[in-house]
Amino acid sequence: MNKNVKTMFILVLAAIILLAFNKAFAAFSLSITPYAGGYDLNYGKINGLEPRINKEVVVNITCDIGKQYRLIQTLLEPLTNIQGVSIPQNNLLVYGIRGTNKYGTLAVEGEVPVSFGRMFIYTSNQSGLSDSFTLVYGLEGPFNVPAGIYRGRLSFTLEPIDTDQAPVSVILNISAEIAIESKIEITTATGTKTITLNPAKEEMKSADVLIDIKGAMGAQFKIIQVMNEPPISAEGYSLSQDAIKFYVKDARKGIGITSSTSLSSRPQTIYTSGISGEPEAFIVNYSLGDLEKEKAGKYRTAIKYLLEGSGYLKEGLIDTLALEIENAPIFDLIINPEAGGLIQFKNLKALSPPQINEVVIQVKTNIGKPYQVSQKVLSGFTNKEGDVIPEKYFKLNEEKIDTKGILKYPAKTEAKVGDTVLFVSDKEGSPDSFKVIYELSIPADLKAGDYSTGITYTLSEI
Amino acid sequence: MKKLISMLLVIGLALWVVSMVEAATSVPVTANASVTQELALTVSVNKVDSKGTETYTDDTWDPTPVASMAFGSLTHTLLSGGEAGTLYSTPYYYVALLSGSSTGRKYKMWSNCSGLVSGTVTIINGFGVTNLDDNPKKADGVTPINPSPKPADASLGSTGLAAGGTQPKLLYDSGLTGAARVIGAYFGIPPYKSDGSIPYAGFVPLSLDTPGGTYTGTVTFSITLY
Repeated sequence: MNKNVKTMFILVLAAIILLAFNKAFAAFSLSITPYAGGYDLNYGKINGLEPRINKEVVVNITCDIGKQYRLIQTLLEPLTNIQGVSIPQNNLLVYGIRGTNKYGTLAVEGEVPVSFGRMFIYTSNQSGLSDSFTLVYGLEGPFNVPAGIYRGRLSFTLEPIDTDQAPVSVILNISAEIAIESKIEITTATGTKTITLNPAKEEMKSADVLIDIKGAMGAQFKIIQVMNEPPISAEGYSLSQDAIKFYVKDARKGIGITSSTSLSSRPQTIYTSGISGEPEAFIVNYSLGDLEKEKAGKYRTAIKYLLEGSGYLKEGLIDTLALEIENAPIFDLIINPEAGGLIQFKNLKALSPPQINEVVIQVKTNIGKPYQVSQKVLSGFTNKEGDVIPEKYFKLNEEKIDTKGILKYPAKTEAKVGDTVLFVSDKEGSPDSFKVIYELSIPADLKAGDYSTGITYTLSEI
Repeated sequence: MKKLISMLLVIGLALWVVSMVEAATSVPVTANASVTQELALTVSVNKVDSKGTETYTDDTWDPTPVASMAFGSLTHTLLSGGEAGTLYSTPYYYVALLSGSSTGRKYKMWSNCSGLVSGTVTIINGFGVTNLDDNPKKADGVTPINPSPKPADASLGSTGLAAGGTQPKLLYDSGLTGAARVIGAYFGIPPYKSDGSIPYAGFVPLSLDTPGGTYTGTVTFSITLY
């Protein structure tokens, strides 16, 4: 081989090596850089005060292969906490800022949710020129998930088109700390921890308890109510099963007991949340049933509210409210003459049958002591001239109306002027009622006119 | 100190009064009775079967009141077959129960009749108020209708011909108290008694020559204050 040929061989070889080297070091790379710095897309602490947080990511693509390429995004792992609870995909959105790229086409100028599938983000021009652009990742509420740190991963793949150039992938870690504390607050409408009921006061015949579920629980749960024991008074009396009723109102995301239900010592599920245990506030209304048969006194107990759920939910006692019922002493006499407020005998005639007038007497009491009902006829029926219908023409007898006590005059007798005991209660002093039937006739020679008397009924302990 | 003791005493007394009030409750109720002034007369006429006897004790009353006194065909033959000497009706008579009330004002009850007429003939005799009873019985024949005895100054009128005069016939005078009362006025056309005596004071026999026919008339009862 002569010197020229040798030189030519060396030059050709050098050119081949140079070309090969050049191909081996062709630029086709991708960098994904959060605008705020660092390597991860970190949303930091999310306290729920802002409905949405946007983070920008700068995408830099270096390419000198002279071929068209595209950038593909894939969600590898959604934002998930250590218990496996994920922020729903629809809460993470992406769009590209128009005009931040120079040559190619941004496929996400409109906002779309970040999804598991291959999402085309960008396609370069035909020449495959290097480019850069900015993507915006928005994380928006509501975050119906428990508080905690959520991590996820996005994959970006730079794929050349119509060339055997190997694709390039970059992983972007995402993180967010959901700092919205999931908790359930239970308080009365007055802000206290005591439910107070009093049948004597209209505004205290019922009471509202506000249950505020703050922050999502991340899973379905139940709130269970347990009354420690029936309300008991200092005297040792306890209220009956039906004395207190409750129902749930204003629950929208979950389901509460909306029909009036007796408060029980057994566990009662008062609320079942939606599937994700979404936050909401609702009211449990407690009201008094019929306490007429309950003894007077201040009754106390406590209601425990328990959380019951599945998975990672922390079950157990949410709170305890005291329950107080002030059942004031009642010792009332109710007189109901059939003619309304008075006992009236109209248009009496001599030689006609006597006129009848009934009076229903009702005793409302809860003091638990025996009592009696008496009447005092102040005088005979007298007109303004002083004429009197003799006593013997005014008679009474008594009849039972589910009466438990003792009627003193079941048979007809003269209703004499003065005091007469009509009724004696049972030993328990139960509330009771009975009927007094008065009968008035007139003497044959009675003068026309209006005659009247007064009868005072008295209820007294014995 | 004395003032303090007095104050404590007053407070203590007040508390005692309060506790007394809690232990008893009273409800006054007025009772009224109205008696409307009236002057009322109600009449109920019942048919009575004398059974042909001259005593009232065995008579039986038809409890259903009637609207007219129908004496049927008169006869002059006694049940024994003898001659009665008068036209008479047997065995029924009628009792008018008159209930008078005046709310305590004195009153009188009357009857009036202008005779029984058939065509141009009017008969006065025979038809009479045969008895007056100030204490008639209920349908059971035992229980008095009036709840109390007749006032001492009250009086019955007298028996006699129902159409015996120009003035109404007095049946009852209430006396000063004007007490309401039910009386029984007996109307009949009886024969002489079996012993030949007149059946009631004021009796005048109905002549056997009375022309035949159906005789009707009206008895009017009234009540007046005086």
